[in-house]
Amino acid sequence: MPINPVVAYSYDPDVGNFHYGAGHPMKPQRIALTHCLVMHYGLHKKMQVYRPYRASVHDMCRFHSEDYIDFLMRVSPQNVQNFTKQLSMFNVGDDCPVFDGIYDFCSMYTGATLEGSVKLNNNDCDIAVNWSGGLHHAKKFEASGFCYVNDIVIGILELLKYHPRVLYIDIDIHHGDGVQEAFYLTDRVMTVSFHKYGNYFFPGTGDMYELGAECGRYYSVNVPLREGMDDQMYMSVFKPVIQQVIEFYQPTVIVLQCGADSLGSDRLGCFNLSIKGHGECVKVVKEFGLPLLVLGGGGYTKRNVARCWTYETGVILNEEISNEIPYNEYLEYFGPDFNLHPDISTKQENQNTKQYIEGLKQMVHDNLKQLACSPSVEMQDVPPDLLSLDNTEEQNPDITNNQYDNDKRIEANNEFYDDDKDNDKDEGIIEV
Amino acid sequence: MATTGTGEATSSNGSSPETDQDFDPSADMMVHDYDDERTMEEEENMSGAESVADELNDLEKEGDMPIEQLLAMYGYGGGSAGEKEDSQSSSNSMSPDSSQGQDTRSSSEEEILSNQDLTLDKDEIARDLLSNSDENEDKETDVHDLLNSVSSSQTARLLRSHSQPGSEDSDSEDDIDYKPEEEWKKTISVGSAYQAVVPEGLSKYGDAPAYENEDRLLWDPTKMDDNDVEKYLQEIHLQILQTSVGVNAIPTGAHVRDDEQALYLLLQCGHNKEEALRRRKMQAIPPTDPMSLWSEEECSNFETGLRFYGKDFYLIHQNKVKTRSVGELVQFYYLWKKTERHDIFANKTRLEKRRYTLHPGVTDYMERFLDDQETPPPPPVPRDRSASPVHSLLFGDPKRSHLKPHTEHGIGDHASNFQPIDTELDINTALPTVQCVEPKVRDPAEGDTNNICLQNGLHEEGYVPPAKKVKTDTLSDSISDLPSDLHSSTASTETQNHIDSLSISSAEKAPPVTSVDKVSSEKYKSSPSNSQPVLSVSLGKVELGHSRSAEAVSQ
Repeated sequence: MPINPVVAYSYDPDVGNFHYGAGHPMKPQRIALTHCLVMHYGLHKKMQVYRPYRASVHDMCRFHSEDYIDFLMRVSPQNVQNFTKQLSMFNVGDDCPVFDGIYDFCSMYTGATLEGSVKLNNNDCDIAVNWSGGLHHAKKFEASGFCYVNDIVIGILELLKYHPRVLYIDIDIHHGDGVQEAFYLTDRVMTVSFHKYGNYFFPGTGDMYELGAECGRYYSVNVPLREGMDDQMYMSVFKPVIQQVIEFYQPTVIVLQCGADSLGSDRLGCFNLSIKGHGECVKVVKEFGLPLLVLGGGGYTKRNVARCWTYETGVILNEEISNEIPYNEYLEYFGPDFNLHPDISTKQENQNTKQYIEGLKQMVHDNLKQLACSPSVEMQDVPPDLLSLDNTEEQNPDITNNQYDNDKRIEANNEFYDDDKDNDKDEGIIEV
Repeated sequence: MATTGTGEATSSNGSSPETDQDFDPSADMMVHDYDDERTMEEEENMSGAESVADELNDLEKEGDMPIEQLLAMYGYGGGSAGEKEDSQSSSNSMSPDSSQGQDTRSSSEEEILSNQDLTLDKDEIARDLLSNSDENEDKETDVHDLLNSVSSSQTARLLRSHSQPGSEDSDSEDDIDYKPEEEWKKTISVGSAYQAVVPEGLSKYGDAPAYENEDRLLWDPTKMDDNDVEKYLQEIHLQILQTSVGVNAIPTGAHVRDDEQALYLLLQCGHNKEEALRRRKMQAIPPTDPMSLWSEEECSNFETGLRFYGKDFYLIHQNKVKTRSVGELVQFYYLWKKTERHDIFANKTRLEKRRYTLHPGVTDYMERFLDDQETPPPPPVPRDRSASPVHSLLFGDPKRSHLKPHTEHGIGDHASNFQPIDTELDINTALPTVQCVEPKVRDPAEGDTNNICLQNGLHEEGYVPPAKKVKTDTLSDSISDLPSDLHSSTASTETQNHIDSLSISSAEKAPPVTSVDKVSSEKYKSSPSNSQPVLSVSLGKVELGHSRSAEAVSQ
């Protein structure tokens, strides 16, 4: 990867305009807040900015069951009483309420992740970013933990078309159970999750003994942590584990879920990471120089989520950005300090001991060695010429040209963002 | 045999830990069933007619057997009455079905499978699997200990009554006895119902990449020099200043402002600066921030809507601000929230709220309801899942849980006053239909009752006016969301009276001072700017009079 990687950033201007319901901690608006900061720091000038494709039912059914997706498409707050059976069947209602535009929301964030995967597959970019994605709890047949459609699984399935080995890294404070479960039996995806575990913490999975099964045994890595993790200790386990994982597994692409609820002062989290500490994880992963799909995830203190992901966008672009938050329409949210790196640590005591962390590292290492001893089917499976095939595909002139031609096409004035299917929202602006 | 096996096993899920253990083998059977969805049919075909006949005989026998025997046969020792009933009904309903032949049998089998929510069995299966490999005995027993300890507390009833997923069709009694979900440790499920299908080998994109043309490049930084871009943006900015009127004409400072649309235009023009500027000039209306175009009427309608429906932007859209999409409302809300308008709005509603708490039942409680939404959200009705943390991410939300008092610290007197409600609640929440709707039910008076109960130190179940809830449910023909519930409850004077009497009575029981205390401290938390009068209220009994006079002044 060159020093300045080509970064494709996807953002759908409508993705922030959904509301899970009064009092619900998940606020899609944080994505709009993040985008607003990215914009006003001028970071968008350093990367390709896309208004993403919206995922279709077909795309979602690559992982999910048709019944479930069909339900998501048809249900709305107005007709919800007709779906009582499905609601409990698919675990929709409480953590995962039915809200207005639920399907559109899923379609937007899933489409953006899928598009990132396609771009990586086509070598259109080195790093793809979708802060609206990363909803790692959704299961094949059910919603879970504020997640309806598992865009990560769908994105990885797309990457698997081209990549023999996909590494998934999850730094959300919650265990990445949906993704781990989806790829529990395969060696083509290694899932590595760092999370708070124990004492009724959601979702209750992520024990260090969850290693995967059948072909996938040893291809699920879990690093269960106690509350109060700080920057230094987090890095002391994150860095060596990721290094070893990459050394042993030799992935050809990495998917990084950057859930920001592992920050200090999160409404639902109990770690004590600073924004810089969180961003350091992104830096570490990026420095391996592999194609990288960066996704959002949890994060329930809006202003810090926006700060964190903006900072990480800067990290990805190798751009230093100032601590002073530039003027923007949401500036008030960043008071009273108006800084990018306020002190967000809490008094939460770090419950992790050095010994515990050392033990974890040792265990991960031992398990990874198992993986080397038993050569995976996949590693033999990949014919050498397939790798060179990748290379021939690297610069596909047709594709890029098509796209550029398309974008250069002159449109009528005022028709920003509109395509054939989308003319409802923006028209209003023109009329007024 | 598989049929009854599954049926029994699932209904036995609700029994105590001991019986759970007895039923481990049946869990295995379930694994089998779930894993081999495809092979199930084959299996059926393979099993000859005689085995079917045997099975039918068995089933028939079972059908005639007295319940006690049947229970004994399946290892039911001390199941509750409800449970017995349930198992009876399930076996009864099974046998006639199965005696009709294989076709109906398989369909009934399917029915069972589909009726049982997958998650219900998932833990069982996974636990079973893992106990074979990784998990040791200790953990198992730990879990059981945990189970027992939890089930002894009162929340258990609530929990169980909720956690039945997807058993709409089965008896509600069945759900009450359902327990295993209380364990916090969960495991990853294995089976075709859980894993993604990983494509074999590597493939190659066809000539037409799947999604290539459906996205839209808005800006590509590689095509142009940074300085040129900056110059272009400056010129665009000047242009805006020259042509625009009103707010937009105010210079925004020396720094170059980013303009996404201008950059997109530049890209559309093939990075030809002059062309982009020319086209920009031609645009009759400069694209402006859509938010600045909200009319005063829309704003005030929005605020009224917010007052009436809370943060249900769909209802506000439907009833108040038809000119804006729900998305626009949400966007507007977040911008509006940090403006002076919001402060005025919030102050007003807060005043109303205070008036209400001092004279309960006098003021329109709509206002207060909204205020509850403004301040930390009210504990959303004892939520099933909030009691079951493993199932709820929300559980960890301090904004919700801080209003959830600890069970242990209840003040005896008041707690006992509320006992009858308690039991009522259980029955109600056990109804499957209530479960789904419940989280969204938020009546105006609820926050109030919550507060009062909190003062009384009541635990969760105590403060739910359950009778009200059921009434709401049955009354409203569309139990879709919060506001519709609100509607129905206001429409029904019966409900209203109930709430009022409840809150008044509880207010009488609680020393009035505490009620003021509580509310004011809450206010203080939410808005320091508004804290002055409120603080004085919270100082003690004497202050009550003060706040009253303050009230008079404000009126």
